[in-house]
Amino acid sequence: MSAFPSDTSLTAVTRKTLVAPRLKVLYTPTTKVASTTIKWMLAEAEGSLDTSVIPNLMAAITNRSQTIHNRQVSGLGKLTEYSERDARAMLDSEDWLHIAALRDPVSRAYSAWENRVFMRASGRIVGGFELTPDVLVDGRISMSGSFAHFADALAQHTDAFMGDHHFTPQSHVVRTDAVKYGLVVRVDEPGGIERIASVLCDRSGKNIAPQRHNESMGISLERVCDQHTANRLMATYAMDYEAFGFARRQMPASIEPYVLSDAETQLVTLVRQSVERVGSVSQAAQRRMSARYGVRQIRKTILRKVSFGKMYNTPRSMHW
Amino acid sequence: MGRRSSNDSSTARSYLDEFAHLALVSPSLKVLYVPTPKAACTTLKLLLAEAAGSHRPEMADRLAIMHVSRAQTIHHPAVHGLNRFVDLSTRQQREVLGADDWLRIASLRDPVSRAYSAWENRIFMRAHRRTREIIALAHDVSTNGRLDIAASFAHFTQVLLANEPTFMVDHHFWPQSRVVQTNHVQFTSLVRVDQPGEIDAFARLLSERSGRSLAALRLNEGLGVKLDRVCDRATADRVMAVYRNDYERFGFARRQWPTSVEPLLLSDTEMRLVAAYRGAFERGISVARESQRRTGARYGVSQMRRALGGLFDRSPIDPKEIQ
Repeated sequence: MSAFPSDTSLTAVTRKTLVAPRLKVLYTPTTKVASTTIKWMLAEAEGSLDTSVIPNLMAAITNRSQTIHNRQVSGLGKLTEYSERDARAMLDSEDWLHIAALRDPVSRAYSAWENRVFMRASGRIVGGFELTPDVLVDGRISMSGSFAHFADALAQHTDAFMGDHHFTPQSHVVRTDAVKYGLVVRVDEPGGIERIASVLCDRSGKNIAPQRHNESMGISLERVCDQHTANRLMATYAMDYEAFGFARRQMPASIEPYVLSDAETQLVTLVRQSVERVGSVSQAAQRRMSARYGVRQIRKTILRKVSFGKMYNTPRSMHW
Repeated sequence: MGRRSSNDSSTARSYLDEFAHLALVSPSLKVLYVPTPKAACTTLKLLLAEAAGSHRPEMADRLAIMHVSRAQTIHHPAVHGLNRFVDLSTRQQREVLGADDWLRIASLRDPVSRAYSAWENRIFMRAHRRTREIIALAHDVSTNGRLDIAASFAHFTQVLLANEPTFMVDHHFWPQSRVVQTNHVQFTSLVRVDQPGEIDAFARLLSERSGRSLAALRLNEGLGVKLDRVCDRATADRVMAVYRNDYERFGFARRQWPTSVEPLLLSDTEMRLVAAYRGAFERGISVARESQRRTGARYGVSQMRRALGGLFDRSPIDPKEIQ
């Protein structure tokens, strides 16, 4: 049985592929595989980057660097927007370079867990976070315990996580079975991202360098992942090992619990509360984008004027 | 004499105007509450809204306004549902201020711990939304490359003392004597929220009036840093100088502080978490600002036009697109 999905249609294999037409570069981003860094570089090299629209974005993006994933910011096109003939021409042409990136699946799973589950970045995990509760030790969060719990939940309820593309196997995105890539780099190996930067420098004539966005908690995988947890993850992502030949990692048989301090635990709570509010504000904001909302705004304005400011005139209080 | 009387009357008018916009009223319970920022006002407001039966927590999801947490949305009128004093008729206002069966409540807190709480929340955790100036003035202070809470708080008190009017743009830094003026309003109770049992006593009072069983919630939104760990005598002296009127008017005890404190340095993980928090909050404010810009008839027309155009246009960029 193949390590890749059976659907090899053009739409399926290039669904996420981005196009930088000036550079003649295609990039198929894999989430949690330095896609933020690579997109920033690609948009900068292409000259399509538009940071002026960032203040206008209403999506629940919890960090400025992540706004690059909005195509109004990156300015990059999607291959699926081109006709099949044009898309195939780009994929087959020697002039065009198709880039993809890969990462050790256990590291990637940890990164996805830390970002999407632990820090609560908006995602599409079925059932929310019920499957992945914090493991507490004396009221403090055990990172190692919580990550191990996640690995178990992911193994047992894989489908619940796969709706969120941060957890989908890399072999579902980087389709070496059906697409010819000109450059596939391992971002967790020294010089991996720099190879992409170098290619983009050559093609654009600009000085492009990868930036560290530093959004993780900075905890090394060895501190939170034992062999049992790694085995769970390697089994879940078995198709990635088969497709790309990742080395199977050796982790310690057992590790000391990695427990956050009281202050760290409290900060995690505060971050989650803030992220939850960003999501809520974003949803409320996006409800203001419809014809019905437009009609209500017109009606309110008319009534405010007719009532000489008495109706719908709620000056902002000092407290909100 | 005449001039002083005219000044007094102008001061009273100015206070009562500010008071009227700040004070909240529950006519059914006959309770007036003047929320003093950073003196448990979130907890007390929540208690009052629950007692009055006006609390609508579900409205929090409809607010396109960034608060530091869901609990803080209680400050929005759509969530607390209480009446504003300013919206009452003159007759009703007179009754609220003078009738014996009305409770007129305000809260107070030791000025140094209140100043620390205001700094931690508004500046360190970036909850201040109105200007960037005070955050720039009271910038982080690092010791040996690590963010130092004690030194940052000390620096804040220095710039607060030197730039008092600048900080007063945010009412969390106002003196309590500006909010609670007992010479103009006959308060029936001043709740000392930092004294054991005072908030619980307030909850009991509201329970009796409302017939509901109420208990004060600990919202736990601070960093959990003990004040004695980050505040030395010089720092406390500066705070006491800024809030001297509070000490005079309310007789707060002048606490004793250590002559010096050790730096309180954040760990690498803590610094990353603080950065994540600030990043998220900044994005939340950005989204909220953009959303608040989208009001009015002109925007309404543009939305209708866009919806109409959307029927025919197959633009590749969806404005709601996230990734």
